[in-house]
Amino acid sequence: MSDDDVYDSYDDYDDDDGYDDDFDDEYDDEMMDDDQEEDYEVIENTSEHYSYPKSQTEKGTKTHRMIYDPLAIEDVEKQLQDKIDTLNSVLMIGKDACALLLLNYSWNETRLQDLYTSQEQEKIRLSAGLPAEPPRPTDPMFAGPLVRDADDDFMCFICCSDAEPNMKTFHCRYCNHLYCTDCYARYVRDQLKMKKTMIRCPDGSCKMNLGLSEIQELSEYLEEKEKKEEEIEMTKHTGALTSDEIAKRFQQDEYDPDYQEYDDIESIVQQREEEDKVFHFDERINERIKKEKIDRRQSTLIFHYWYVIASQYCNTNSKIFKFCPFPDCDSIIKLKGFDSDEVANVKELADKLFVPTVKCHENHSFCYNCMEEDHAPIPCKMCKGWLEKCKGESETAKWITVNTKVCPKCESSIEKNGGCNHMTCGSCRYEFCWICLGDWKKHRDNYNCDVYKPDEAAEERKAQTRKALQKYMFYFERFDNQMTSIKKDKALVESLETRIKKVQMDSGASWIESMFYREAIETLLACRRTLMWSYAVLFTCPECIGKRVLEGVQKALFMEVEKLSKLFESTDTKSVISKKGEFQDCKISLKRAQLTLTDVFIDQLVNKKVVLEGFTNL
Amino acid sequence: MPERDLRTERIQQERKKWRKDHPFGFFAKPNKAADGSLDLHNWTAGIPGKPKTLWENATFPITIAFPEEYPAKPPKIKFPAGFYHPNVYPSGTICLSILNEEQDWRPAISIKQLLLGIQELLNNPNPDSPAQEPAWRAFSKKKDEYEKRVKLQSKQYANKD
Repeated sequence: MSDDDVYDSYDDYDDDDGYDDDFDDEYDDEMMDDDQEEDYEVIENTSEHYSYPKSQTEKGTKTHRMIYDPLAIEDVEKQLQDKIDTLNSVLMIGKDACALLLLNYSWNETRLQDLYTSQEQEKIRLSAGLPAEPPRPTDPMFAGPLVRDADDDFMCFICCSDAEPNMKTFHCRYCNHLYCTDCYARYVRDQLKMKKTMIRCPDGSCKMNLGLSEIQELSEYLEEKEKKEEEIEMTKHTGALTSDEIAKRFQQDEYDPDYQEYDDIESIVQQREEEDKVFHFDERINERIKKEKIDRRQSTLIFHYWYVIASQYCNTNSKIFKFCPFPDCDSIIKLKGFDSDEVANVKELADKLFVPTVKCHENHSFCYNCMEEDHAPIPCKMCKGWLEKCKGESETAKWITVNTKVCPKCESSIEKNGGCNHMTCGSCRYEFCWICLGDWKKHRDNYNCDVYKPDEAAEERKAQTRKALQKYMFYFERFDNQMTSIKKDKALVESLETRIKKVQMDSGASWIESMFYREAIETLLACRRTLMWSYAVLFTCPECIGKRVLEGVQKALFMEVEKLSKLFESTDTKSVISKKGEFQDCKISLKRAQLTLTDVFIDQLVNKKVVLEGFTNL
Repeated sequence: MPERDLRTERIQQERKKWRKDHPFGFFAKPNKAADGSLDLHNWTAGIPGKPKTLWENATFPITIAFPEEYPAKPPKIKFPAGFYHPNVYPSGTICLSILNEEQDWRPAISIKQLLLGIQELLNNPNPDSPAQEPAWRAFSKKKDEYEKRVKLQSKQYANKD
């Protein structure tokens, strides 16, 4: 605003002599350009993620990019804290009260602001477990710390303990229902376990709710207490060692010739140091941070409280916030919209046969619509249909492989329906032995058995089913092959840490330098997955020109996958670093092939150049 | 120091309080085991119907079972099986928010508060949480039949004068 004012006055001044107008315009334009550029950069910097890298495929099909933010639960907590701060800056009634109001009004701050300033204020406060009127802060009962020394005549009604030295009482800020702090904390913990965020005073008739600062105080009390207990435990242990015992130990160290523990320890320490030298701590530190985060969340009341609040918030806004479906991952994806106004929500996107693949904070890829592991390029519905078919058909397929054999002459499958080994092929009448598949005539002709005579119509039906099954088996085998490869490669990733360590040891490379190895494996896994699902798409694809196109790009991706896979197999850990360039090249062309495949598949499916068929539930 | 038995201590306290003072017409006491000793963890109690209601002049029997985790978890309170009331399950279990750990149970709710809450529920059923079909259906659709059945039940549990 003030900038404009300055320019205005400057303009006025210029108008007088009418000289510098052009310069002024130019200057303004320049300013605008700068602004735009800045805006642009800002957009680039914010981590907006897209489910597809471009808003159009190479064939020109709109991809209706899904814009999303991968978040950690702490990010959501931060956002909610900001909401509380914002509301408090308007209402000025304290963060505790604001948090309770927001919790009670599903975080709808605009509605709260309107309502709170209206006649309804008292009602709103009461329903959020706050006193009807904002209390005066000077009241001694309600000011200052809430954890206090118990009076002599105090008795906690929850545990029925009488006052004793060091006993502390606690009460929530706006009522005088005192309970011992241990009971209070246990109660809050139980409530949090039940995922309650509006925690009432334990008294049956009291309607006051506990606020953030009260839970914070309880939390601090517990931590303090735990620390003290630990200290007591420590002194106990050291106290148990008398000076005699210490002396004895020293003697043992000095004189006992068999006492070689120290040597062992030294060698272990040395080994550890060696390991640490080659093995960068990044990974371990991250892991430890993650573990500590979870521990803290479980043991610290206030962190647990925030965790419950944030996850509840995400669950109630489940159209925008979704948890990563991977086990032990509590990352969140926040949907921000689409870069086209033709789709309004994820379901519509999926109905158009796009796959809204997202990548969470921890790098897990999954489909935002059906919440399954990434299944691009197959659309959600068909993915489900395929999996169901696999479940049903695998039984049939299994039965066929177990119970039938292929006629050695005409290759039709034959079921052995009797105990005899003299087989006659139903279609070509070739007689052979079930056991050795050899010509029966050359067999010793002393078996007494029935010749299998098929019924013609049944045979026809069977042939058709078999044909369909053969097509299915063709694609299933390829699908399954990739799935098995993924599983094997995953095992590789799991042993990656040791492998990378070995790469580092063998080649003397640093952690960063060997990162390409991990990236290559991860790319390989992702591409195998894409390839796997492309087989399922092809199964449902009728014979047409479009199918040839799909097969073309699929083959290209297959070749690239094989190439990188081969490179992994043929490279021993010693020569990995020297082949870095090769790995990088392979990875890049593999990624390109994956992108082309998804692009082409999207184009063919979405523009209905290929209309998939085959699943009854479509 | 032996582990404290919070449950028993709390129940003893409740009993002391109850004996000192309890609302008129109510009774609540621990069961007696076969050998004559007290079973503090299982109580029998009676709730009088409020005067000038369909439930008057009768005392309805309930059982109270205190679980191991009491008072962190609420006691299980039951009417006799088949009790006629919209919010009582066929088993006799009462559907009341303060008796539900997931809902409004709080560890400082006393026996007195619970029993008064149940007395209140008798004549003010909550039509939004039906627990049995016959009483709920009659209560919301056929008031005559409902009143008749309740009166009959009150007669069954009538106070002996």
